[in-house]
Amino acid sequence: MLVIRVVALAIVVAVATYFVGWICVPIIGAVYAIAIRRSSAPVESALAALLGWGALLAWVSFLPAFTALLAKLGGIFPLPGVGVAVLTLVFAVALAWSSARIVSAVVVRG
Amino acid sequence: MALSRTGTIIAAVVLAGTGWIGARGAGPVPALGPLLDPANGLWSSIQTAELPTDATVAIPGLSADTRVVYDDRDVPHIFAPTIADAYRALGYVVARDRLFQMEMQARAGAGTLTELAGKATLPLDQQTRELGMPRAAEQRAQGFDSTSQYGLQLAAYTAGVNSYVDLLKPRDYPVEYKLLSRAPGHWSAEKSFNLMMRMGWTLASSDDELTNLRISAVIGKPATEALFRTHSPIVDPIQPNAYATARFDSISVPAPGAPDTAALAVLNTIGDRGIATLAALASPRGPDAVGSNNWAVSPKRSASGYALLAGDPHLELSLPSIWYEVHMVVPGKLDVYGVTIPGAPGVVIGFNRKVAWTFTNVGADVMDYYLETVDDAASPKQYKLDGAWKPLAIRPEVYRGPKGELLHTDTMRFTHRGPLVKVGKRWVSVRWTVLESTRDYEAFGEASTSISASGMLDSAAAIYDAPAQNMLAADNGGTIAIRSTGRYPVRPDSGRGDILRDGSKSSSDWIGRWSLAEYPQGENPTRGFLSSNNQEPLDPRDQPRYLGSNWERPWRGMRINELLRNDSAVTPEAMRLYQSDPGSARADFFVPVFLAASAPAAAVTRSEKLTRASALLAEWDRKYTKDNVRAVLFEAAMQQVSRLLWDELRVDSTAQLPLPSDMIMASLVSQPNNVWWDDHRTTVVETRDALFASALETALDMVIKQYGQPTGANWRWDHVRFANIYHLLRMPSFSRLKVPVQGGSATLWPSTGNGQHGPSWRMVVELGPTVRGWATYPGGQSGNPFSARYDNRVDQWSHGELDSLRVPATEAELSKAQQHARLVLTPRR
Repeated sequence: MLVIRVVALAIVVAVATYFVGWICVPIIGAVYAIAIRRSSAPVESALAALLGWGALLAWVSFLPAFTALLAKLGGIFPLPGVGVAVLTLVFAVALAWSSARIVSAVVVRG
Repeated sequence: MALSRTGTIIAAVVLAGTGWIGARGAGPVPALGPLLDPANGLWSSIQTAELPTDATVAIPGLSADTRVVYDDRDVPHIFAPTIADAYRALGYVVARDRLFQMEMQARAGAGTLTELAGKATLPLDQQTRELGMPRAAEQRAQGFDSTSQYGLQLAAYTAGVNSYVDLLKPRDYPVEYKLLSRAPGHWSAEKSFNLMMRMGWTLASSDDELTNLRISAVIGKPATEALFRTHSPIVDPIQPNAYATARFDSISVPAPGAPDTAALAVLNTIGDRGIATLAALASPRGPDAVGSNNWAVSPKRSASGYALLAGDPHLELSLPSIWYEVHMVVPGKLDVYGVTIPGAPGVVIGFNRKVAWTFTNVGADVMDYYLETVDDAASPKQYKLDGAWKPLAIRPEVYRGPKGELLHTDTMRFTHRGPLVKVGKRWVSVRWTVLESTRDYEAFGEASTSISASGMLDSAAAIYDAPAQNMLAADNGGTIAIRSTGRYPVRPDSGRGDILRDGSKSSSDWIGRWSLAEYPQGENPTRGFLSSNNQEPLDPRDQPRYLGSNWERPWRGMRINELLRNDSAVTPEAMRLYQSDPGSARADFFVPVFLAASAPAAAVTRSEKLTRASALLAEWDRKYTKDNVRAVLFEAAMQQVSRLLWDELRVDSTAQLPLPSDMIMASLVSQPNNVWWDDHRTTVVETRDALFASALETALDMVIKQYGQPTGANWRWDHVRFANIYHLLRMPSFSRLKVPVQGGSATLWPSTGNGQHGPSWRMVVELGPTVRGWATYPGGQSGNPFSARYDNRVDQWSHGELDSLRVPATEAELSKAQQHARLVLTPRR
């Protein structure tokens, strides 16, 4: 059940990101925390964000220009291309976890 | 499970931090949210890196389907039912590949870069507005006849660009917009004019008035007039003259004299800040900075019996390239191939089935300065003209940042001549043909449909004003023709434009323009070829009237003319090789001078170092090939000669003065005892030979110190000089740096010290019954840095190679294998 929940949430994150943008990640985290009212919501949200954005990254990695992108990212960020990919995932995880964690503190009672 | 308070606080901090940096960014870090978003941000930029094999897009305004076929060189061939449809499609396909570049270049001409890139670009924007370029573009847009043939073409082009912009979702934005957290704006006719104004500044601005003042204030007027001459001492003009080869005119260079007190007084008034302001009004000029080559060969001197034309404009190199290659076909009406500037509606340089054309810059003086008398030095509202006060036109200028925030405000003022600029404590007005030019795009349109070389030049001459260009054309009837086309002002009294004039008198104003018959020109000369390389276009013995001063050095012209004279059966392949020819007329002139000076000097001084330097230089074949290991010594020696020869111009109190060109140095070679050869810092009196020997000896020390012993690979020319092709935002990972090139100072492929200028589009065309073309440029068709089409031509360009161009009259003439991608634009009802 947990796996299904997280995968479903990851799909929601990916689709919402595609159509709405990055800002939906913390919103989904918060809404999810309200919906399930469990202390595990932050971790599940973070996992879903990781999977959702990971899937989107995996999708673009199949495009022919991905190698060129990774090679040139180092000139934009002070990180190698792979490091930027990790930063991307960390960013999504941080947004989803933190929003879900704050909401859970309110809706989940000891 | 209870949730700890500490965890909640940490989460709040994390959410606040990631939310803030995600939405707003921090310091130099852009907003990370939209940037890292894997579906809409940086990562998604690669989705548009390559063109889809087949695409159909409905856009408004088309009369019928317009097909675009991208060939295997990524060149779009536009097959349209009407000319308006062709221009609409052109706008669409150029925006599809180069949208950010279009906006950036237009903003550079509009003085609104701050709105894209922030406060760091404020000085650039101020300079642009100070020169009145945005105001002139606005006036031009207001006065433009939008119902004329070219007005309709411009409108269609603009609509085509905007059709593309309207279809974009944030994920489709070029990556530069994402990095700057900006969105593309709509195109307008005014932006196309902004673009051309900026090009005019690059090609047709000058500050010879300032040079003359500064030099006169050090060595007096007579010596200044001799060193910064209105006529070149080496004469190999664009308009063929009576001489078979370059003529070296004997010149008199008087000894440095007493400082010119009038010049000193002006400089003291405007001060160092004023000097810097005045200098910044003109585009920076250095040897080979913006030089170009073109030449054409008559059928009687070509192997095929057809006219040949080579075009090779040299500009600042950038990624994406300034040029975009395109072919437009409207059956029975238009069939033109060539390069357009993204944002410019039409092919600028190229060919149709009958005529090929190309340009080099004239470098005529079309920008004059007037010292004005104003009513209030701090904030003038009036200026004095013939004893009466005249109101200044006042224009407030507002500079905004990327988020619309106010960054700065200025007030610009204009006299009847043009913009009024505060120069130290004085005010100087500027008259400049670029601000008054209105029909350049029409001239390009006329060229596209021309049916003869002379017809092309005549139609351009009737409407084209600035920036003045040496327009070269050849046709399939065997005619070759050239004309230096532009508006050349006639000035009062001496006719000089390189002197600061008194703005308080209307008698200082321009009194007319050169007539067409007076323009430098030539058609089917008996020698069988025409060429231009930015040198003085007229032999002063044929036409002594002032056209400009301090002309580009003639070495490139001498070299190509020599190559063409010695080739009675020129082929397109030879034309290609000439474009990257490593030979140097400059080296051919100066190396013997060094060697002749060194041998006797070494014998007298018994200097082993000089003997060694001389032997090393003698080994040089005078060619700037990539693997050459002696050119570096020659260049160092030339630097030393310049340093020693012009020591009188090296004064401590001011910023570095401009130095005379090496053609003046060449002229002095025939005067071995001229006082200028003497190093005034020593007690002995040096002669020419002593100076050349000393320079060579010092140069060897310097080169060994910098590059090691001459046997090492570090002396290779491609270790010393290379091209640096920067991305428009100067991001190294989007740039191609240290690209090896074959060429040096004053070769046909000039290589400047910083490597940021060079051949921007090399083209060879054979005008036979079937037109054939070969070309390349240093970049690629796509503006997307992640695309395989972004810089895929750089290596080919670096090797001096050209691609054979596909010029199909119909879509069917391109085989499936030659079709890389297809786009069908359909009318949206």
